[in-house]
Amino acid sequence: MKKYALFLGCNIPARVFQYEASARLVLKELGIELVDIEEFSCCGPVPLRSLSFELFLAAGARNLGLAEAQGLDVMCLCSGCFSTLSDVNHHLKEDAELRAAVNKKLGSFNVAYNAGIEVKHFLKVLYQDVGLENIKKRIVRSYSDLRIATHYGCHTIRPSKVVQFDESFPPILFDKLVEVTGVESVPWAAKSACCGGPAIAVNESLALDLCEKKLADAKAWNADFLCTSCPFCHVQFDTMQAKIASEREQKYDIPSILYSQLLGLAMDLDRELLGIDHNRLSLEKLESALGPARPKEAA
Amino acid sequence: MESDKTLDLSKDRNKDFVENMFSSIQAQTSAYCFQCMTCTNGCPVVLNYQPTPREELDLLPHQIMYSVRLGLKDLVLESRMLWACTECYMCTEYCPQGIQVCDVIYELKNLAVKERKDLIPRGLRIFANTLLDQGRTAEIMDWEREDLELPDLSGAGDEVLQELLRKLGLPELIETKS
Repeated sequence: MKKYALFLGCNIPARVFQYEASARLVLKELGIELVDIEEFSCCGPVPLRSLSFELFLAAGARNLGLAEAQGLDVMCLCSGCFSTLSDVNHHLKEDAELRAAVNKKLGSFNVAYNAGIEVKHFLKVLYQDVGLENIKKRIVRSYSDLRIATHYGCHTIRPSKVVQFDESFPPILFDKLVEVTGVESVPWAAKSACCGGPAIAVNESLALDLCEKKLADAKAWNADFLCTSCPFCHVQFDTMQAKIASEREQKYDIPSILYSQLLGLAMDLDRELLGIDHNRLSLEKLESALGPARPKEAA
Repeated sequence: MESDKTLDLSKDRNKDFVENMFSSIQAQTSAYCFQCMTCTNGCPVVLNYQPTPREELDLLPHQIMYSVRLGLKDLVLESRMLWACTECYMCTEYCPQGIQVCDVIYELKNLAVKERKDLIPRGLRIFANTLLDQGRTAEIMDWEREDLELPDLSGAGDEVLQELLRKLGLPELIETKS
């Protein structure tokens, strides 16, 4: 059984706990063991890099060092954390001098990072460690007649040399994971475009503009739902979509579902524990597209 | 080309700035720019402000790359494009010259934070203060997590991060009184 240190970050325990709940459930069923490291902190996210590269590296390296001390690779659910920790890992693996300088700063905190671990996104763990065939075996309720706009999230996939998310670029791994549940992943133009989330702190109107562009494109492709794997993107589509509807009087009606929820429902896991009702926009139509349960296969 | 669309080359060109920027491996790559505008054409922020992006952003990504080489420090640091960047890395991914466009933009922001504190956006100061005060960017919702039968989070790392950021000078960087 493959084991990972689960990196939660800040946004998931604060706002998108249904992502954590559904991911834990699904991964348990699929035989991935998660270890919680209590001393993990905030990843030291993208805005910290805007302020200071030095601080960004130190915060990230501290987290990586904690996992390394337990001999564990890190798995992130949040694309922001994933991007930050992959970026820090990349720089520290490439540059031994830089690593020594960062470790010197961490000295009094009793942690050091020796560039010996990998950082993976939840989706890649599913694709690479579990595999499509094994996931397929666990799907007991397929969806029918459902069109999904799969949203990759910038920080999951770029820069491709740093995050190494998929062997193919543009990536196809998430589409495959979505389609294994029986839905159609539509070839929408804005698939890998920005959701607007990172602009929120500095320029909210820009954040809403970018979100609205994506919603309009998903709508043009007749998508019923958006599927995400990042808490920031999910909040954009779930919460900001409501804001766009009320403030801009533009109703798109394309709710967002987290991949772990989409998969969990297809695996016939408890909808309460998947946190389906914690999403702001209703997933009723999606649940009604689920077929009847067939008997579970042995793993 | 209309004169109001061209770069203002009359401002002082700063040699130290060029040398400083080119001391970093990432920023050095901006020297390879041949102004094909792939970065600008792929930028979602530029696209959002069409047809007049320069009115909202001052300099566009390809102009920033070229201005770094020319040493137009003030022009670059004062450009609103730096802070509107969503770090989506479209530019970097598709640059035919392998220029680390987004990383150059990060470096320019770091420089602005050090030398031009008047330019630090309010939202970024709020972010930094939240991190210094709480050790995380948002509070844990314990009762909601309990509903979903999630394990307790002690937040043991929060104080350590606060201490680390204080020790490495984040309060001085954003000029908050510690």
